[in-house]
Amino acid sequence: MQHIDIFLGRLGRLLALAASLCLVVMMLQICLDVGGRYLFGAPMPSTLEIVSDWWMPALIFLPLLNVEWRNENIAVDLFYQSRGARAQAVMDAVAYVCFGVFMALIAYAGFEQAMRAFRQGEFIVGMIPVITWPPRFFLPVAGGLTALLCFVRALGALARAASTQAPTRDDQGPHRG
Amino acid sequence: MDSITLVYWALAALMVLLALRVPVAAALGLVAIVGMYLLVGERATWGVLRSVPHAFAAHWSLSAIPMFLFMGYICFAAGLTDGLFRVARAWLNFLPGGLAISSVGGAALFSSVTGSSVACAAAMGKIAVPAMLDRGYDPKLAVGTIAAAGTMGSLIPPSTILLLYAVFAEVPVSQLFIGAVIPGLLTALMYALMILARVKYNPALAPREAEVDWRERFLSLADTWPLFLLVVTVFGGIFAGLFSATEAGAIGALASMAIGFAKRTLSWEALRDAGFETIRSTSAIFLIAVAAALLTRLFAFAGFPDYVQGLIGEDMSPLLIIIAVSLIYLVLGMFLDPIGVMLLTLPVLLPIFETADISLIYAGVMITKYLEIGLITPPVGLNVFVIKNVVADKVSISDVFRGVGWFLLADVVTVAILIAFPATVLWLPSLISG
Repeated sequence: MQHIDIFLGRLGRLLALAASLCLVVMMLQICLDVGGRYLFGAPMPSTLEIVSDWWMPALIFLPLLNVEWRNENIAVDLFYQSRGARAQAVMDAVAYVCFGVFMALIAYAGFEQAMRAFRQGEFIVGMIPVITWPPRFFLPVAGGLTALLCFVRALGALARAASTQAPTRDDQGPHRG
Repeated sequence: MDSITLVYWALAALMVLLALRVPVAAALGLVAIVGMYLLVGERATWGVLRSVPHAFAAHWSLSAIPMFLFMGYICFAAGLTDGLFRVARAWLNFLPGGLAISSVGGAALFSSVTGSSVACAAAMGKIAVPAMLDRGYDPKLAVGTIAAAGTMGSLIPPSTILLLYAVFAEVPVSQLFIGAVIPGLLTALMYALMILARVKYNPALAPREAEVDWRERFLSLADTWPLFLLVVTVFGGIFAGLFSATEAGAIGALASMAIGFAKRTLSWEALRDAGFETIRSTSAIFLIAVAAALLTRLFAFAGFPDYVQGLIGEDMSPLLIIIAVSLIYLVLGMFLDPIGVMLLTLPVLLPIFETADISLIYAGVMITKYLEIGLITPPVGLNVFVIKNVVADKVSISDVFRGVGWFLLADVVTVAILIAFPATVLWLPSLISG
């Protein structure tokens, strides 16, 4: 279990690194587009399409695994703090299972859609044609891995619930990676 | 079970899941999926799941959000925000409660480079709270000031909330941004007046600071003028219609990077961390937004917006609607995060605003102000938790909430002024073209 968790942590960091590179490229591309438009009357071709269909899905979906690995998804702590260790472990397990199921569902639906787009060789025609099917795989890949992480951690939380004294998920994060 | 009853059950299930500490995105999403499955069956639900998440993400207008987040994180990583607090301190600390008022001023300045209230509270908290505690300020005043002042982050442009609202309400973001300027400044002014009055009445709250001479004041400006120039260029460009919000954010991010490197205060490691912080925030924000978009599909299938509109009736006056909305947001804001609250309520509220002839610009700014107040109200005030994190064991969570109480009072006055005089919001947008 521990090995899978560590492996997914590394993988998540790699995906997040890819997303931050996309962020920088997106920033530069938009600046070049504005600069080109005002200075030379020649905007970067198809900036709008590339930003919308490539960089945005990358920024949003690729970091999913890293965010969940660091326990940085927003949750409401209202009743959690005042519970005992066992109750907290059970709540953690419920939360992981819910998040995992949600991720698995949208990842699988996204996968079906991505395969359809892949078979059609989906693209859009802007100033230059832009292939748009590959970024459709960002959600299924990152979402699927996040679901796996959630299920692994849910098992861990259940194990914790079975043995009373063990660290809660607050002790793990949020600054491990 | 009819469709409206189903929506009520869905909302009850949502509350239970949130109380169990299920992440907001998963709670919203699962409730939406199960609700749709029960209401319209497997095929239609699957169709929504296949199309909505990717379509929501692949969106040009929303690309302004990561760009402005990046700009804010770079400014923080490059230490440009420390300079803002120094400027505010040099110019405002002659006042009673000067450091607290400087913190409000610093937060207002920082709000013009960040679109997130939580980021604003976290960044100012790290600088200003220790400074105030060192000077012997009342801890409740110190933490309350920053938790409350941080809420200007989403009100004073750029603002993640306003960017999302612009897309959903289909109104120009430039109009929303400029419309939020006066309410943002009014918020700062009310906070400052409240601090001033309290310290006048009880000087023990805030020991006086040593006077700063004029030379030092101008020196503080010498340090930060590139940032001011940047802010003026970015927003001047948006308001003049020279570039879109996304373009302004990208230019702002690149320029703040250039300023950081030129001042030698930005390292490659800090830049890399700013990039990571940006994409993680973007991902967390959009995941909630995607899940909220799924739940609004359930609302639409169930005819919930029409139902609520029927409840309210068409003869409700705009004034009553704006006040009713404030109450709804106050309650929802206590339990949900701001973006979730806004995206869930907009499909219901937007038609009501349109029927009542309420300007969508005005409504957007008011909603943002309400959401910001929700960030500091118990039991779930995100900003309060952020500040609690910064001060660790020095101040208890109930003391932070107590410190915030006075600022809530100032906010009530601000909201009353905004309701009484809609021109405070609508005047500036009327000066620029959409």
